[in-house]
Amino acid sequence: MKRIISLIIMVSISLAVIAFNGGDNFGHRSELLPDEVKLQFAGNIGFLAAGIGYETFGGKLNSDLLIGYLPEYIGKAEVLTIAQKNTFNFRNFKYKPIRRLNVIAGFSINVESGKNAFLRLPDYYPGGYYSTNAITFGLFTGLKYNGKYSSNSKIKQIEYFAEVGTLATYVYYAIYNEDYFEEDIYSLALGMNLKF
Amino acid sequence: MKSINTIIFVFVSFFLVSCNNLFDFSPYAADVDDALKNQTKINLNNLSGVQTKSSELFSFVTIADSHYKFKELRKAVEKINTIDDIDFVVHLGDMTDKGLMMEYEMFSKEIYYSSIPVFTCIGNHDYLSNGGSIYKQMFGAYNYTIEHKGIKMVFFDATVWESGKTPDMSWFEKELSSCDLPKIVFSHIPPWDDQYSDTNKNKYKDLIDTENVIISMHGHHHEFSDANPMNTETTFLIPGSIDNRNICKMTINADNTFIYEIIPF
Repeated sequence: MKRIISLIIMVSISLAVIAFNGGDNFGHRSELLPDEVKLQFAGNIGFLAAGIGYETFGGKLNSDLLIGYLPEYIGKAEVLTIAQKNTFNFRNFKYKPIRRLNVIAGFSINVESGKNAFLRLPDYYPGGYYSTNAITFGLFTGLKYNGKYSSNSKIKQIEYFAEVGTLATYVYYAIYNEDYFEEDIYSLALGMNLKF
Repeated sequence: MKSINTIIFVFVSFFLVSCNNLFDFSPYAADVDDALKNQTKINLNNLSGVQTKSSELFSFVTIADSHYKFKELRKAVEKINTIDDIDFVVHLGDMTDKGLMMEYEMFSKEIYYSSIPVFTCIGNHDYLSNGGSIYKQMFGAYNYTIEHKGIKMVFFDATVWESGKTPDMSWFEKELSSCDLPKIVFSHIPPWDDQYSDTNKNKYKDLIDTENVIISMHGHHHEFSDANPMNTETTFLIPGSIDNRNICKMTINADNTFIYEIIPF
């Protein structure tokens, strides 16, 4: 539980910084209200992940806090992941047929809840025996389709995204092992943002 | 900006169509591909002469503590494939660094290049994350034995901290004392390590000195050592990690003596 509380404090501080830097973009809405609810399938943060997020820097950055779950009957291990995900939105395409598409890229900090990994070494280990294996860093790029905007609706816009992602650990292994690393380190994630 | 968009769009499209692992749910997942399961059993079936009880000589090679060094592992396997008088390979544990499925899959792919059977000990790193579960599916039991050309080989899991269990000394005693064959013990963690309790250290010492054990081989400590810190009659040998770019060839003689050779790769 201490781990989760520490994480929430850490994420809250990062969200406060984001809100401070991009506060003007929140308009008339309360700064504490999230701008979006994100739902994600796969992408190394669980079978399904859901969370809230803020849109800052004039829509250029989405910062989300997600909780992902992988049930045991799918992954042969139950995994609960808390992810702080940052998505950078590039400018829309000018070409009319695809002008609703954004290229996106970003990174996430993923923390496993502690059942399968540890943030802090148990006391019976000598100091420095292992570094934490509960935190992974995700990297991704992809495409986002911006649905039609409606100011009258409670959900003003729905965005759909597809991402190709990996983990920094896998990238390190691939670089270290050069031609000998044959595993496909990339995988897909699909999801949607419900904008309020 | 338009050109950057186009470049990224092309890259994204390329990756979207080229991903083999369409969806990865978690690095901690433990769902092993059917094609990679039960490797110990398969290798046991492939071990030629497994049923013979003659006293002919045989040789084997050990490697240890490869962790994420798949490049070195491949080179070790390539070297092993050039030696034509060895019957099998033993990996003395820590075939992964974080116990992740990705690491286990890479290890399996690298040892697939070996032209002879490969047997494994589970190491402390292999238990991390959900590695213990993956190992069990991919290789089989943590503790097991093989009889080959009149020698009984005992693979013993002595990991305590990462496995959350104590070494099964009853199983170890039973396997050592249940037959008169000469024996070789393979276990990742040497018995003088902190993970052993004093009781188990003494038990281990007594058993290998009384139950006709030719040699006790270990990983975990990355440097070569043939020291005998427990003052036993039996020799201990730690061939060292794959980082040293060596493999260790063991030859068992007809009179149950042995010689070892450190071969660089």
